[in-house]
Order: sequence, then structure tokens, then C-alpha cells
Amino acid sequence: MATEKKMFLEALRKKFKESPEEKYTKFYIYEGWKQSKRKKEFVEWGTKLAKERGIPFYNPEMHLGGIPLGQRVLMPYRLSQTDIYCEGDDLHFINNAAMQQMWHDIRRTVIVGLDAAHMVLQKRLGKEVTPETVNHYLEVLNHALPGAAVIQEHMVETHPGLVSDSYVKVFTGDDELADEIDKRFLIDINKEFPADQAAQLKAAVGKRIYQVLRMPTIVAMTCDGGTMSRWSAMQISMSMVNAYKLMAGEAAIGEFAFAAKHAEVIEMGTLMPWRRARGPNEPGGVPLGYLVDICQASRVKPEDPTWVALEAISMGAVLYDQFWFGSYMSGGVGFTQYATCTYTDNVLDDFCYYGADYVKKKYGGFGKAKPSWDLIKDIATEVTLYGLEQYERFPALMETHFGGSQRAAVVAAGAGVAVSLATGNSTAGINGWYLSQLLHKEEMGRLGFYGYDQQDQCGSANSFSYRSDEGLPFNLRGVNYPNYALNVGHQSAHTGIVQAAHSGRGDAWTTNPLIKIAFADKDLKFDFTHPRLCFGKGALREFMPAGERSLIIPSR
Amino acid sequence: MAKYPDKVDLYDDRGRVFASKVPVEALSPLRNPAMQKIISYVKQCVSVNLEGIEKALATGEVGGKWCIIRGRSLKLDLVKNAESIADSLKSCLQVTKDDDTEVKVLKGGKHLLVKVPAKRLNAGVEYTTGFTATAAALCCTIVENFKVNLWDADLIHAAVWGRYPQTMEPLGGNVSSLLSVPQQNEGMGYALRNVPCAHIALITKKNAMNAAALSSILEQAAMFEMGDAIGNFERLHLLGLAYQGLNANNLVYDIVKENSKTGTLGDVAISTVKRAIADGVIKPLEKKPSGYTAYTTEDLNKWNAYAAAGLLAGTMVTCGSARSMQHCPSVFIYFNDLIERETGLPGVDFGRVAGTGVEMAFFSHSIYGGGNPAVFHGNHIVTRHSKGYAIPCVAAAVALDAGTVIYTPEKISGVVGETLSEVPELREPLRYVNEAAVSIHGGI
Amino acid sequence: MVAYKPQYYPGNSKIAKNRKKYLDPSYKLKKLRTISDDDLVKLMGHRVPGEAYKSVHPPLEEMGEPACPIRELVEPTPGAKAGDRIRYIQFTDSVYFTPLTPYMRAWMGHTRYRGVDIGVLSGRVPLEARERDLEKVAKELVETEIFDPARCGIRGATVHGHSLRLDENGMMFDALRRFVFDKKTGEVVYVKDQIGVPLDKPISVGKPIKEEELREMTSEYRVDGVPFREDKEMVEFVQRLHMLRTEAGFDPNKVKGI
Repeated sequence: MATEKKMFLEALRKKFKESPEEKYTKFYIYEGWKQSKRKKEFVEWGTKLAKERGIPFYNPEMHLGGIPLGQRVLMPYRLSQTDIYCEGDDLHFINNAAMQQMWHDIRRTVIVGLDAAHMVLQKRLGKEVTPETVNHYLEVLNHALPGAAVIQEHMVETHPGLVSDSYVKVFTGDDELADEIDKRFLIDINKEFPADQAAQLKAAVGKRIYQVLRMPTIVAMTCDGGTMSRWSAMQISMSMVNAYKLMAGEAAIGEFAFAAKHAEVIEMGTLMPWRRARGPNEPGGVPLGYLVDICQASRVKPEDPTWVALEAISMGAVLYDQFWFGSYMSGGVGFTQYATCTYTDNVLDDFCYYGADYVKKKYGGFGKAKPSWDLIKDIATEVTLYGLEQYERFPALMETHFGGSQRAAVVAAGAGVAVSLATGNSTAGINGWYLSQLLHKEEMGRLGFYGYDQQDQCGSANSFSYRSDEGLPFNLRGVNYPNYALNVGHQSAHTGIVQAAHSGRGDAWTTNPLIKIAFADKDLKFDFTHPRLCFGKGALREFMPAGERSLIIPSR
Repeated sequence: MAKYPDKVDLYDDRGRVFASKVPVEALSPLRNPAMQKIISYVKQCVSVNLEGIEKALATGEVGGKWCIIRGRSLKLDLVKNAESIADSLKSCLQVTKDDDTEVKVLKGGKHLLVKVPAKRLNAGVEYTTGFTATAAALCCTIVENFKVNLWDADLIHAAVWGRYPQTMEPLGGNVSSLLSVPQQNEGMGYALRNVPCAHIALITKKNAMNAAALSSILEQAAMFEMGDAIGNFERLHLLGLAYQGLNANNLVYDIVKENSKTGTLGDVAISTVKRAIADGVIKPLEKKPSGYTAYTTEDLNKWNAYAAAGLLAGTMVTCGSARSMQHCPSVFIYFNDLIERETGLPGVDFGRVAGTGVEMAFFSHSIYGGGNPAVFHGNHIVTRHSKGYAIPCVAAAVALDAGTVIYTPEKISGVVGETLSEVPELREPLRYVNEAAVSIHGGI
Repeated sequence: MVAYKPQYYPGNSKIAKNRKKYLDPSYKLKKLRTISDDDLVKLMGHRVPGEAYKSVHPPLEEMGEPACPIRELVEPTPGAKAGDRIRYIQFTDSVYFTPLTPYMRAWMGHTRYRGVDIGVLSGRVPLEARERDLEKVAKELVETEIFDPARCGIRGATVHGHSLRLDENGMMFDALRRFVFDKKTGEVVYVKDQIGVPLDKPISVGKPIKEEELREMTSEYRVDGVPFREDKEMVEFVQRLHMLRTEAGFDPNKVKGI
């Protein structure tokens, strides 16, 4: 790729206003935090609020005994493959409502099969189940799910204005049944997916019918992930009692509850051991393949599998690196600076497209080659060295990714995505990532932060191991997988390695077809088809989230 | 009939030969009676802090730090009556008169070492029986012997069991086992990996060879329990345990000795390579244009065992010369980096020890951290990655520390380590394992 | 025992040879500058020059040691014998042709020095040792060819600079501006110690090494210097190591003669 074609150059020019090839610059002349519009806003608010609360507050003069941030350029960031530029602060999830909503939309989703409940109704209770009764039940549940009463005679309820993002929809692989479901309740596979993907998904789901339940965002914000399946199960069971006129305390009702709470439930995340100590539907329990299926880029631009992988990567960065490692696990606030490297400034995009072009030219397209040592060595080495050479060729790029962990993640992501695209095998893809890390360590003689390459040292041996807690298809691994459980800066890009293996093959889903369909829903607040654009809107403060509280608090 | 052809010479902790040509399977946790005793004792042996119970009752300070229940206290002379408590406790725990129950009074009655009879463990499926039986029997004993009434029994429970069952573990209690509650295990088969190195160092009275041996026995036995040391992978672990943990062929001791006066970690790596070449474990594969010789092996399992022994020797030389535990993660990374670059062959556990070192260095040296090496064990997200080869070195490093840390092994271990050092098989595992290996030699 | 000549490092390039040279303790590092013992102590900032070493435990002889065959065998370092605290020196090395990379600091530290604890991050390398041992090691690390005054920094915290462009004087960025370029003398002068506490008197660490010399001395592969891809022996070395580790993870018994 000629210099002019490098995807990251435009952003580099805007970030530094100097030639990206220049090796020398000036420092200490930027007036510290005053160069940043956002930091100035922080200072203004910090000063005002310190007076109001009477306790010292945000004060950049506290930084390094009076040496404030901004001794060099506090650079802006471009959301990759968008025209949006923002400040780094705007990508911290606390400052970005779109990021918060992405997580809330994932956490508040539960999928529950309806067929078992129908069997209980028909076999144990002698009730008739028809499309009409299903529609009626769904109407009842759309009343109940946000927190309203259906069978009690005296009951407190939630204010609809606070929970309007809570609803239930259904989907089925049976076109005839789908036709008879009220369109207000239907996720229409035929409408949401390209024809070939719809065919794959319908074949997988078959005649079964599934409910997709969204609990209110305000519940997701104030309770934990384990709340979700309990909340949905209570409302499902009560709505069944109401819609089918059942006796509330008979033994058969226990079977509804069992189906709704346990047997027919798919949650986005599984619970974790004591040391991670988190229940279901928390980020640490969401496997890579689920997050990839939650991302909907694959249905809107299937002709560009590399873009699809990059969109998924941005969600991985926010969920795994910024939320999970950055806050849940470490208690820190600084991981945003690090995690943005995979979805800003078109750097990873450049590396991934370079790899994709290399694969297309050398291996005749995507998903056409079987994994082999020759292939992994060839592709992973080429993309790794390409990436490292860009940092060395363009000092501004090196300065943009000023932490070694950022460079290590981005370079290895390029390598892993390329191997995945070539082979359609995500475990081969991650093996390519590990080779990349070892090459990087040797080439630069440096890699990431203190604990960065723990999984990368273990990674080669554990790629294809099949021992107790070492082997697992890569799609099913996540941040609770032993080698990955305390290892920031990897899983964002890992998401793309899973996605690329499947988007290269033209797969409608990677790991779980039900999850893929469940998020093909325009009524979700977050736009899962274009996560990077949506994060950018959040950064520009143009994103409107759910979780309204103004109805119940004094006006400002 | 032996499954594997390997035979090793057994040495003691001072490099003196004990027996020759012993089948490596005689050093397997599945076969060696002393190892099985050690594993069983880990379950059976529990320490009781009678003095702690007495204080807790006297002050009402029960169930965790700063939990002082106003208006509740009980003055019982437990320490003074330790002998009679021990007698009653023993008869309460005993299943039959001639079983293996033991209750030993230590430190003038301040502590008790309790061995719960194997029969009790055999009648259940959980290793927690050692703890639960002791704690429960102790409550019964105190209530009975001191005629505690209905209104005060809850305080006895809290002084013995801590805040359990409001908590998962006996928070603030005064009965301790080497093993933690099952909920704390990282995964299936991890129980034996959950023993902090502080305990190991104190049990073995800071003898670094025995500390490494005990730790290696527990870690490698866990590999069998986890399902890792089986089939294609069994010999890998047997050799690792023998050469690294049990000083087979005197490899560890020889390499330490060679580098004991002036050696660096790099010198230890080279000594290890030299020994592997001399013993025919590795050989040149090809000479590269630069003149560099890449090595290969016909027996990667044995190379791994040699490298693992070298790693322990490297820890002993580095942490030993500095008399400091904090160096061990650096050893894990850079011993492996150096030996890989010296030979072209994978380091210990094929990168997993280096990976463990990376994370352990981070967590023992940074704000994200979890303390000094004495609190580390193999049941942690930082350390579980190496399958039995890193933690024995941590145990040795902790044993070699002269007092560089604030949270010393003594502070971390409390009563347990000191109490369990009364069990000879735990205190001097090399000796007992060697004797047991010889005793079953013919059988294999 | 067979005669064995240590190899230290593979590779068939100038960079690989430099790496090998620095790792080989039989190669004596060239002394390029003199930093007085007192100045070094001030730069590190752990004690005042002339002040006695503080102890973390009594001298070994006084305290007595547990009966351990390894303690009997392994000679403690002078600092360990005396019970010194463990203290640090930390370096940041620029990506622009510095003599050492971070991993090189660790590898070299462990082949040349006994009883050291070295960590590696992308932009800094802490080396910890018993205080009097540390001072001895630090002397060599600062006075010899492996240290460039402009592109290597002695920094305890807020270390960043390794990946940033160089300033107009060719100096690595330092947010704390611990070191400055003295245009009159052409030397690099430390005005703050490694943690950023101002020094009572500036300490010169000498003139920056010229870039053309650094390019000869460096252990950094770079596309605008010696590209890694041109050292095929190194590329293949890493590829093979990865393949062997991967195959071993699948089945160690199958890794034979490859």
C-alpha cells in the first residue's frame, strides 16, 4: 500500500498538525490542559462544584505536584471509518451515553423459549394455544414486563415514563407462524437479514418460537445482571396466568416458572467463580462469540467482512476493556486511553485491510484455505511486520499508540483477523495472534505493560490444547477463560478474530443464532449495526439513551 | 509393571544419594504412599487457635475485623484447660478407639493440632470434613465441658466458625485448614492448589528444598485431580515432579551448587543446558548462518523436566543470593527467555511459566497487585496458568527470604503453618517420599 | 561435562550481534562517562550521599538463618548479608535507536548481575536489588555504552517518552523534565532525581551519543535501520519457537526431532 493510501494518515495529520513522518517536534509549549476544550469544561465544572459541595474537587493542578496533563499535544481521536473526531475523554464510558446504553441493552436482554410453556398449557392444563392467544399473551406481557400488575388487586407499579424501553418481541423460523404474529411483536428474520443469512437462521431456529425480553434500562442500571432473568420470569409467569386464565397456585405453574427462570432461558453471560464474583448477565460471562453475534454489522454490510470484524472489535473494546477490565476488575479509570486504539484513527482498519488484501491475493479469497503452519506463519508474520513497520515509518503513529500494549493489540489483531479471514477458523486466528505477539516482542524488544503478555506467553501452547481448562473453541472463550481473565487489551481484538472467521465465510451468525436474531431489533436504543458511529454520537453528545429519571427528581 | 521406562536416582535435600534407579512412577501421587499420606493429611489436619477463641469470647470480638458485639462476652479458661479439651475433642472426633484421630496440645495450650480420622472423610465426598468435623466437635466440647447455656451457644459458634454461614468462609474463625472452602476454587480439581506459599514455607521450617518439594507434590497431585496429568500428559507431570520438585538425579542441587558463589540467572540457564546436552536430553538440530546452533529433542517431556529443575535452581540462586522472595516472577520470565534463546527450544511448560511470571510480576509489583509472593498460590487467576511448575519456585523463594517484606509468611499464615509443621511428612516431604518410593520400588 | 560455549542469542544481523554482545557477560561494556558515586546516589534518591544504608532486617549473621541447605550453599550478596532494603533504578529507552530495548535490559541484567529483580514494560524497566548491590549495578548501567543521555531516561514515575518523537534537541520527552539539554556544554543535565524531586545541584550525564553511532550500537530492529524481516534467521527462530510451543500444548510426545 502506497503511503498516500494509508488509512490512518488523515487522522494523524489532524491530531498533530505536522507531517506524520517527522521524527522531531516540540513539547512543553501547549499550556497543559488549557489546550483541550473538554478539560477546560472539566475545570469549570470542578471549580463550580467544589464551591457548592465545600469539598475540594477536580483540579488539574493536583496532577504531578503542579505539572498538569498536556505537556505534549492532547490529541483528538477519530472514530474509525467515520468522520467523527472527539477528545479522548469523550470515549470514557462515564462520559459517553452510547457506550453505557450498549452495555445496558446487552445486560437487559433475556431470551426465553415459548414452546415449553405452550406444551405445559396444552398437555397439563388443556388450554388451546393459537397465534391469537400468543398475540394476546404478548400484549399482556408488554404491559407487565416494564413493571405493571396483571393479576393482583392492589399493587404498586412502575411509572411508564421511566420504563418505556422495556418490551417483549418474538421470533420464529416458521414463516407461516411469523405471518400470524402481530407485527408489533415480531422480529422479522426475512426483513432484517439478507436472504442468504435469513435462510441460514430460519433453518437453525425451525418451527420453534422464542421471546426476546428487554428489561427496563433503569433496572439494568440499578440492579445486577442476575436480576434480568428473574425479572423476566416473574412477569412471564404472571402474564401466562393472566392471558390463559390459569389458577395462580397450582403445581403446573411451577413448570412455567422453571421454564422461564431456568430451562428455556438464554442469558448473555454466565456467572463466574468466587474471585470474579459476578452473577449472570455481567460482561465477564459474555463469551466472544455471543458479543460478536450481538453486533449486527454482519447483516448490513456482509460484502465487507473486514469492516464487520472491525465493528465487532469496537464493541469488544468498550465492553471487555473499558467496562470489564477497566472498571469491574481493576477498579481503575484509565483503561479508555488504552482501549481506544482498536477503534480510532483507522489504524487497525489499515492493518486489517492490508491483511485482507494479502489473503485475497495469496489465498484466493476468504475461508478458502485450511489452517496449516505454512499459512499461519506466512500471514501472521507478514501482517505483524507490516504493522510494526508502519509505527517505525510514521513517528506520529507511534506517538498515537504511545503505549506498547496498544501497538501489541493492534498489530496482533491485524494478524489474527487475517488468519481468521483466510481459514474461517477462529482458533487458528488466535494462534496467529500469538505468533504475532512473540514476533513483536523480539522485533521491538518490548511489548506491553507489566502483565500484558501473560496470555500471549501461554497462548501458543494453549491454542490447540485439549486439557481440562486450556482447550475451547475460540468463539466460546471470553474474559472468564483462565488465560484471559485478568488480561486487558486483548479481548477487544479477539472479538474481531471470531467475527472475521465467520464473516469471511458469509455466515449469518458465529456462535448462537438466537442471539444474532434477538439483536436484529430497531427498537433497541443502541445501534448495533454501526457501533463505532453510535459511540461517536455518544462522544458528540448526540445520543439519547434510556434510563430516564427526570420524572422523579427535581428539575435543574 | 511400569507404564513408563524412566528411572531416577533419589537424593536428599543436601544432595546426598538415597537410592538409585527408582522408577519415576514410584514418585507418582497415584502410587507413592508418602505422597498419599501428605495429601490425606492436608485434608485431615486442622489447626485450632484456642487462645484466639478464648479472647474472642472474652471480648465479644467475633466474625471478622472490628465486629465487636456490644454486651456479649464469656469468660472461659480454654488455654488452661487445653488438655481436657483435647481429650474430649479427640473422643468426639473418634469413630473407633483405635482409629487415626489425633489431638496434640501445642504452645502450652494455645494451639491444638487436630487430625480428623480418615474414616470421617471416607464417609463423605468433600474435603471440608476435616474442618467441619473439628469446628463442630469443638463447639460441642466447649458447650459440654464448660456448661455453656442456651443463650451463649451462638457466641461459641461465632468464636469457632467465625461469621459462617452468613459468609462463605469462616471469616474471623479460629479453626484453620490448609484448604479453603470449595467455592474459592478456580475450577475443578483446584483445591490442592489453594495453599498459600506462606503456609508451605512455615510448614517446612523454611527449608527451601522441602518447601519446593511439598509445593510440587500438592501442585502436581492437583494436576492429576484436575485431569491434566493423564494419558498423553501423565509422563510430562511425573518427570516434572521428580526432577523439579524432588531433586531427582540431584539436578536441582547440582545446578544450585555450581552457581552458588557467583552465578547469575543466566549462568543457571547455561548450566541447565549443559547438563541437558551431557545427559543426551537435547542435541543440535542445525547450525544457522550466524553460527547459532538450534537444538532439538527426542523427549520434550524430559527437556521440560530439566528446564523446570533449572528454573527452581535459578530461583534458589537469584532469590537465595538476594535473600528475597520478590525476585521470583522475574526469574520465571527471564530464565525462560534466556534458555529459549540459548537453545531454540520451548521454556518450562512451553511458555506457561513465562506467562505466569508476566502476570505475577505485575500483580506483585504494581497498584493492581495482590501482595508479596508469600500470599500467592496456584489457585489464582494470575498463577493457575502454569500447571505445577511455578508455585514450587515461589514456595522456595518465600522460604529463602530473610525478612524483606512487611506481610511476612508468619503474619500471613497465622497459626496454620506453624501448627502443621508438627506433622513430619509435611515438614520433611523429601525424606518421606524417598523412603516410600524405595518401599514400593519392587512393586513397580 | 561437555565443553559448551554459550550462545546467548540467535540471529544474523548487526542488531542480533549487538544483542548477543550485550548479553554475554564476558564482553566488557565500554565505559563512556563517569558519574560520581554521590551523584548516582542523588539521582536515585533513596538515600543522601554518605548516609548509612537503611536496613529492612538485621545482618544475616546477627539474625541467624533457618536450617536450610540452600541458604548454606548460596552466598548472599553484600547487600543481603547486611540486611539492606531493596530499592530500584528505572530506565526508559526511546524507540529511536537506543542501545538497549526493555527486554534487552532484563536479559542482560540477568546474565550480568546476581540477585536482581527486573521487570519489563513497553516504556520502562525497573531493576530492584539490595541497596548497596543496586548502586554497583546502576553505576555500570549509567556509565557505559548501554546508556545514551538523550534517549535513555532515569525515571521512577511518569516515565513516558519511549514512543514519542524527539524534541528539537534530540531529547526524549519527559513530562517532568527531569533532564534538560544544556546548549552551552552540549551535555544532558539532570535537574530532578528519578522520581522528580528537584536536585540541589544539576548533575551532568554527558553528551548525547550521535545518531550514526547509535545506529551501530543499537539493539533495536527498525524498518529505517536494520529491518527485522531482513534477519530471516530471527524470523524463523520465533516462528519455530511458536510452532514448538503450540505443538507441545497439543501433545508433547509428538514433538520429536523438529
